Amino acid sequence: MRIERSSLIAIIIGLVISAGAETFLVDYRHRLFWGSENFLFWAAGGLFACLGIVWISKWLGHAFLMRTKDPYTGDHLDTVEENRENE
Amino acid sequence: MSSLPPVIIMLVAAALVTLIPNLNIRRLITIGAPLLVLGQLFWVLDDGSSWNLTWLSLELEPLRVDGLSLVFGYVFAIAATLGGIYAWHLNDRFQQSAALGYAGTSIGVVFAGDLLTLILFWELMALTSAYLIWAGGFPQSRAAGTRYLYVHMAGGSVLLAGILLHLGAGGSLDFTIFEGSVAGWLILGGFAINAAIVPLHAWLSDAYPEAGITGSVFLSAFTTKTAVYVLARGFAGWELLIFLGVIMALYGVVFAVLENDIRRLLAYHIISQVGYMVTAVGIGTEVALNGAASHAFAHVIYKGLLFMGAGAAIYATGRRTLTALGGISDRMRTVVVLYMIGAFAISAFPLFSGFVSKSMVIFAAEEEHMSWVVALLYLASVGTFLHTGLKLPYFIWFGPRRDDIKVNPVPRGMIIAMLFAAALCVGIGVYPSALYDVLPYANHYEPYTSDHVVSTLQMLGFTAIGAWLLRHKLKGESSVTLDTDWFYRKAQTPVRVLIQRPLEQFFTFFERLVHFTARKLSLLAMVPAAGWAGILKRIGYAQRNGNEAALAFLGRPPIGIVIAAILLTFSIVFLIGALT
Repeated sequence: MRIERSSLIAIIIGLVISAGAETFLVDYRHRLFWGSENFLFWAAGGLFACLGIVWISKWLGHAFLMRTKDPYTGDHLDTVEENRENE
Repeated sequence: MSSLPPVIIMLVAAALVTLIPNLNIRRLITIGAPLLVLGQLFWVLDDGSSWNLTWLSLELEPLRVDGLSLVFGYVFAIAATLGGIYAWHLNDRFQQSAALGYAGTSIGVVFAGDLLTLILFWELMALTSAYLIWAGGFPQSRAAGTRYLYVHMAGGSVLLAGILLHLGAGGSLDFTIFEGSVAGWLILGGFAINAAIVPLHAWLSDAYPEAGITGSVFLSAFTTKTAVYVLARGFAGWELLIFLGVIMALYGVVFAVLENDIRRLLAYHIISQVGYMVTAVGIGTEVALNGAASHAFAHVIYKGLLFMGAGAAIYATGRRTLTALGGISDRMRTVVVLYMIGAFAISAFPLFSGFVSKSMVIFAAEEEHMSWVVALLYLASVGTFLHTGLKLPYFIWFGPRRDDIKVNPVPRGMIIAMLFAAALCVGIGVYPSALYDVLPYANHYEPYTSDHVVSTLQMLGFTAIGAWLLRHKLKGESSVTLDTDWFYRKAQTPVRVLIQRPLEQFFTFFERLVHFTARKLSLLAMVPAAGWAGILKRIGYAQRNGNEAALAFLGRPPIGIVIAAILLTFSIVFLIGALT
């Protein structure tokens, strides 16, 4: 995956703000589960959880679940959608 | 009025709406009835109010008010009012009536103190909500509504079987906590279908997107939350529900990634959010049940707001898929802002309602040292923001401006309803005590700690960055996603060929035989000579020698024998009917 410059800047700014907020605003890190009390855990968790959800779901979808032909009516989806938008 | 069940007010209003031709009066009733119920719940009914009656020697309790039922009653009345305002433009008395009936019967379930009242309103709820899907006006609405009704009738039958077994085993008619008997499991199965517990959930994502724009706002509020209520009432502390709830929370998130239809995506997020509530019911502690109730309250409002926003986009453009939308934010600014408030609420941003309710469920899991539950619910939370807060608004409204999409003005009623719902989302988020004070148990949870606020903002902020990185992967795709409804939808043809058609042929044959016999016998009874001649014609003698010769050959019809034959035939028919 190629990371765009704008995304890289967003990540850096996000990390700086997160680190600042965690350092100056949080007096006590509550341990919810393994590792959750670590510095910037939630920032990393949010990013990797998001990437993981998209990748795994898309993989599951393309491998097993998504059909371009309606399995119940036999229609091709692009045609159905075009007809629907033209109505 | 102190012992009048609120469902009566709603059902009378629903009946009136079908009779009144004046649209403005119907509108006022649609909004006024739930407001009246809300007033009754606030000022007339108290914790402990009840109404008992005896029917066929059964002790029924159509009204039982306590802390748990009141929370759900309040939010159902609010949701029905908001739905009525949203549907102000709707000139369809039957949809208005079905919506009132649906909201009313849901309220009826919530205040049912006995199992017979519960099953009565449970079934009526299925029927009235099915009408909202049938009336959707989309090509798939009728079929989806019928499938929805079949599934709910099956669920209702399982529930009824459970209740009858429970009563047969000497169980009480009172609706209280159930034991782990066969009856208990059957009742749980009936409730699980309405709660959309995976894998019994597919009716929801199949049917809700096919309802009308106003109908889906009502649908998003009642059925699943009524199920959460009955689960909390009857199955609190059943550990299986913790696992099922967590699976629901994640399942909805995964399928939402794949979805292209905007309301189907939101429907998958209902499954995900109800998963939090089911988990809380499974944990079963006082904090957890408070969490389930508060999250159900918040969810009804913000999910209604999200369906209102999606409905406004469909109303304005006539398009319902992500691939067909985009680039219209400058023409729907108010709708976008109000939708985003709902999106922040469901994503549990600080100062919005989800933050103070969802975190209570997670806190309950944490108190019980269920760290894997806590971690997985946070994971689902990331998915929620990813779809409803980022993917959906981005692909519906943002992106390069598209002038090929015509955007019609949205009715004022829709905007006003969204404004009220948005105000509630913010109000609860800013002042959570307003919600916490009506919860069934005393509350000791405090959502606004610096740790919680900062960690939530970190997590959601970096979710947004992740979504931006993968925005091309999040684009909608024209596809149908297979779900567990595949099994019963694909089974339709074999069931029709192997079971339905032979049965129909069997009954049709006997129906025709009975009609034929009855017709001939009645002819014989009414005009004996003509009937006799007909019989002679059939035996061939009359055809060869003429009717007169045949009559002369056989003589006049023996009336006594004919009457006896008629009576005997009908006796045999009735006997067969009685025996089968």
